[in-house]
Amino acid sequence: MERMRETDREQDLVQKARDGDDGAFEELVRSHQRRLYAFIYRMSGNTEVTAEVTQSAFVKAYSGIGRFRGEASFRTWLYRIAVNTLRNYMRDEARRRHLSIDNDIPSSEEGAFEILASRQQRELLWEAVQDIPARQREALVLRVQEGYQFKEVAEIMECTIGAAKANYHQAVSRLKRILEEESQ
Amino acid sequence: MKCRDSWVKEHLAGFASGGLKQEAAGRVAAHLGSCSECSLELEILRDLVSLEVPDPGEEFWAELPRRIMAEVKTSRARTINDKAVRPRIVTFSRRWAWGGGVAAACAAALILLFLRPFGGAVDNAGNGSLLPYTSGHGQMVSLGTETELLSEGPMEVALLERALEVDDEIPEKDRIILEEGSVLEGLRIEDLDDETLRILEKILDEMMPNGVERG
Repeated sequence: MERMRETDREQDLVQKARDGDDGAFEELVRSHQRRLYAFIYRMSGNTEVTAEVTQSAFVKAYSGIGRFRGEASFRTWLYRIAVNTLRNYMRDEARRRHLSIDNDIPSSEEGAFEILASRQQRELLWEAVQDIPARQREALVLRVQEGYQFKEVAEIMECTIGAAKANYHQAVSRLKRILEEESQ
Repeated sequence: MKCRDSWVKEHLAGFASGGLKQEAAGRVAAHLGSCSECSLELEILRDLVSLEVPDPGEEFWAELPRRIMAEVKTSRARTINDKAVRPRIVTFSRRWAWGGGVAAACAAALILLFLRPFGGAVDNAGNGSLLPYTSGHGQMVSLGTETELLSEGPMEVALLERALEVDDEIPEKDRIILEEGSVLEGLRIEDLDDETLRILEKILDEMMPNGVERG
């Protein structure tokens, strides 16, 4: 019931934004910004890139909202824009320079030893995720961390369901291999 | 031994995040008891689910919507300015490619040679993919080089919106490309039919009939 009210509210905001209500669009930004930021960070591993791509994806969403037909959810549509914006950003950036990955993992309330051990493990995992080819990483993040079904993963990545599954399974295999090698 | 249970493999991510229904979760749990490969995979997936993303702080979250709306307003102001003066937009498009690779390369080289002195390649959004000149009234207009993506400047958005509003002659295939592609930056000129490109050219001529040189 609560979820339905949220969906109705979002549809209302999208409609208002389509009609040119900037306040409604700003509200959509506020309700999606944290999740979109986290999604982009998981794929880029870099806070500066994430901030820039998040902003850019929302600006593109604003200019394209008149063409949003509501066949997918607003969030799925927004993620699709984000994936493309990030792909283009990385492609352009790769031409200019090699990006370094920052691993500024936030602090936790754990004890010193646990922090060190889990930090090392998490940093290793972040690095391993960043070593995966981009499309495989997209499938992995969308499926595992964003909880999308393969049909939606395919929609966002603009590929077939089979390709989404293949990219996901290749990502998991590669991640396993990297982590096994690191632990030896 | 390599596990071949593809159903379980597809549902491990859902199991790791606690998103499976009871029956499906039970089936995965039963499988895990006898499969070390999937157990290891599950451990990695659980670690992935629990990975934290650095929080940029409340100031960032408060500022981001404002920055986005400010960028939107700047971009809108640019659209209004651009509509007042027609940018001279053209590139060597697919029609050159049809003439053959060599012809296209020669044409491109010639165009660049002649037009470089008029200024650099700067589009309406300052992105640098459109060339600030025209080939003249009635000639093919395109919005990027043969292989570049159509950029998402205000002029292109206005053009595509107008095309989708006013013209039913655009084939369904191209309508979908124009609707989906431009906003997603996935639109390539070479994906469009020749007829669609002619329609876009006509609309651009109607929008900016004077062909005044920009900047």
